[in-house]
Amino acid sequence: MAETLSCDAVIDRGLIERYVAGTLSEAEVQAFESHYLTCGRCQNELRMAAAIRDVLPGVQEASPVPEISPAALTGRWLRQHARVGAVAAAIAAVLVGVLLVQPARRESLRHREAVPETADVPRAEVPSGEVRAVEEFRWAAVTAADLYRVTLYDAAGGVIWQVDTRETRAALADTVRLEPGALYLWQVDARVDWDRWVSSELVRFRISEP
Amino acid sequence: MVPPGGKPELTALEQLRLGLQIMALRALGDLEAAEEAVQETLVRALEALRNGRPRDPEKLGAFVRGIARHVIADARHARQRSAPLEAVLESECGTSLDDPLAALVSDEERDLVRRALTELSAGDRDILHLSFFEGLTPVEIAERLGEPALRIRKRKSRALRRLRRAFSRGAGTCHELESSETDK
Repeated sequence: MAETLSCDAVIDRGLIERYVAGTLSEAEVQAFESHYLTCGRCQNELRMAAAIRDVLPGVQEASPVPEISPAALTGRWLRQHARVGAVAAAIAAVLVGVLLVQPARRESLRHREAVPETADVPRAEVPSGEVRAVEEFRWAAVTAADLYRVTLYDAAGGVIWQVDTRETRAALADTVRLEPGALYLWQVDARVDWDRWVSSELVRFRISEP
Repeated sequence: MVPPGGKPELTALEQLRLGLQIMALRALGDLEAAEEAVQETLVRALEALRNGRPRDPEKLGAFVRGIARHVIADARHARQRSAPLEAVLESECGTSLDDPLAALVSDEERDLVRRALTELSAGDRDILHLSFFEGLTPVEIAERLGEPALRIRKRKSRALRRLRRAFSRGAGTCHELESSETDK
């Protein structure tokens, strides 16, 4: 007697993916086929699976994952923040003493995040370069953004401070002390969909020494 | 299709048609052969229904599946008797690169899925590839990629949600699924 399945069980156990890939056991095939014969939802999922199998290889070929050298991804911080490929590349450049990241490489790493070329990304404006003091961070708005996340790093790539806001400016917390002469970097991420973020370029600044 | 006001057993069987097409296409790999197998299955199932089988309507899926498996096995044997050996070996070993189920997808749906896949990250596409081509579970993918299984599960779910959203915009252009939805 075939096991009786629910749609939730089908999804939880990945039966659709494994069915089209041909890796289900005979008992699982029997149970799943008995289920989807009378289930419009699972039939639709199977057709979608067929569409995925049909077009995914072509999409992957058209958008190959770029090779990233281990040196570019050295360090725990970079591993933790691998989501922001462009930032990781820029921070890595600072770490190895290369102040200017090759534009072609930056483009390559940014592509890893599959940000559409037309995506509106935030532009970090203030502070930048040599500044006397930093009281707040400001950036240009992104049309579709409903939330911004500001992150401040030290020269070694450590996160000093982070804040979320719906404005296009954020006051630096009183608890953060920036040392004169030290190099800092910051960026702003904009949330443009419930789970989709776009990032500004990493901006460097230094507090001028008295 | 069964006209409005048609007999209930015919309506019930018609709702199995797409599922049977999927099953037969996957097993036979050929649209024409699959259509013949589906038709033969439906005829046999109708006859059984008129004879009071299955007694439990909840078992209709499993019952018709049993008929379909017999019909498909017969179709395979018939093909083995008549087709060239190379063609038989190819179909039995699954060496064909084309997925026969793709015949059930419209061009519009294919384009919508392609666009949605393009908008996913390369990492998410890799997870889908490991799922849909290698049949790996999130736990197995996590082991292979060295990431926590929970994260893989979430990324996969999120990617599939996006694909579903895209795919549903094209649903109905090829198969009027919504009208025959028998979701549980």
